[in-house]
Amino acid sequence: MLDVVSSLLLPYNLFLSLIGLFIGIVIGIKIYMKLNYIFYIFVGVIVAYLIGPLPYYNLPLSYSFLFSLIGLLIGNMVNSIVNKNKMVSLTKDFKNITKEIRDEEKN
Amino acid sequence: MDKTREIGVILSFMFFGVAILYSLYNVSVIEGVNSIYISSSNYIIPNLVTAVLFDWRSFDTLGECLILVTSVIVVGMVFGRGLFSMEFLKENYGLYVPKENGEYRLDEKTYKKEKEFEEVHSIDYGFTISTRFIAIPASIIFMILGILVILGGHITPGGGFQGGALIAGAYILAIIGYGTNKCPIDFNHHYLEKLETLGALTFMILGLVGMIVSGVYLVNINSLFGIPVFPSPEGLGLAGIIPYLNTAVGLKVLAGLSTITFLLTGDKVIKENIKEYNENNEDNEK
Repeated sequence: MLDVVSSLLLPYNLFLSLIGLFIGIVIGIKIYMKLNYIFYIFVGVIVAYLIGPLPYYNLPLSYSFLFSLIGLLIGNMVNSIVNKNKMVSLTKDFKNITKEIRDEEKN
Repeated sequence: MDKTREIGVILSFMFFGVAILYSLYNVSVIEGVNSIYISSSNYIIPNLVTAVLFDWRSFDTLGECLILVTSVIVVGMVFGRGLFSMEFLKENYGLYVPKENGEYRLDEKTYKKEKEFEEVHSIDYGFTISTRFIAIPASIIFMILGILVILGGHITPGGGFQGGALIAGAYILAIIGYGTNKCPIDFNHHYLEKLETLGALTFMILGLVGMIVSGVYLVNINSLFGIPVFPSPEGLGLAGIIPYLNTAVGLKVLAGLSTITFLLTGDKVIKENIKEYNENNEDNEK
């Protein structure tokens, strides 16, 4: 396991994932929604395991996928710090919509 | 809100989700013709299609990128405000009535009706709750998958075009859930413009680097002053500038397709702009 992790940190294995991290940040800064980071990391690990060792064959899961996801979450975090007022919450949006529908049905 | 639509959306989501998971668990990869080509000839990278696209005929790929830019420009001219004047758009969208002296004024009845409609209907009935709830998480996962397809383009099936299209598809999914105006994934025009420019310039500048090193435009360079251009593990061939070209094309395709989507779904945006323009004119006149 240590050999695998140490080989993962070598530049020629990590370089591709760092490009993915960068692209993830570029996309993440344009997501104006408060994301639940733990949920996305959990789902990301499952999806990365299902994808398998892609593109390189060091770990049983796709760590480039995980790096890209972490980049997107970092970009979203930066955006939530810079644009606090513009961020939308998925759960609040869901509650507001259901409340409006119930009010309209009553009316 | 129509409950049968909700039930239909949830059932279809469950059906397709189960089908996808089932197919993922039962995937068995069999080596194809690629392994015969690799064993019998010299190769640059495992994905021979990408080697052809970005090395052997990279000029054609540059031309394909130009076709994408042209299509975005044409869509912008037809569906945006690029070519037509404000008066033509006002007349075309039917909200405004020309007066005798040639000026365009807001039709009062239509304006009142639209205001009442907006006050009463504050939510978009076109988007079901389950679609809105699932759209953003799904589109985020698809975007990451698109990035992975771009990154692994020189090793596995995929590449810049496919990955960029996947990310743009994820953006379209978010628009379907929320609409263009209220979409939390805000790929506005300026951002997409910068992405597309970055992609195009990266592609062209990398071609120039090849020209400086060897005298041929877009030649694949494996090392520069002894440093490998793209560090890769052993056994995966010499990638050279191909992954960078893949990334540039991926950004370009993502920006181009997202711009086209933004323009095609921008009917409301144009109408709102017309309203604002007219209200500002009315205020100035008062």
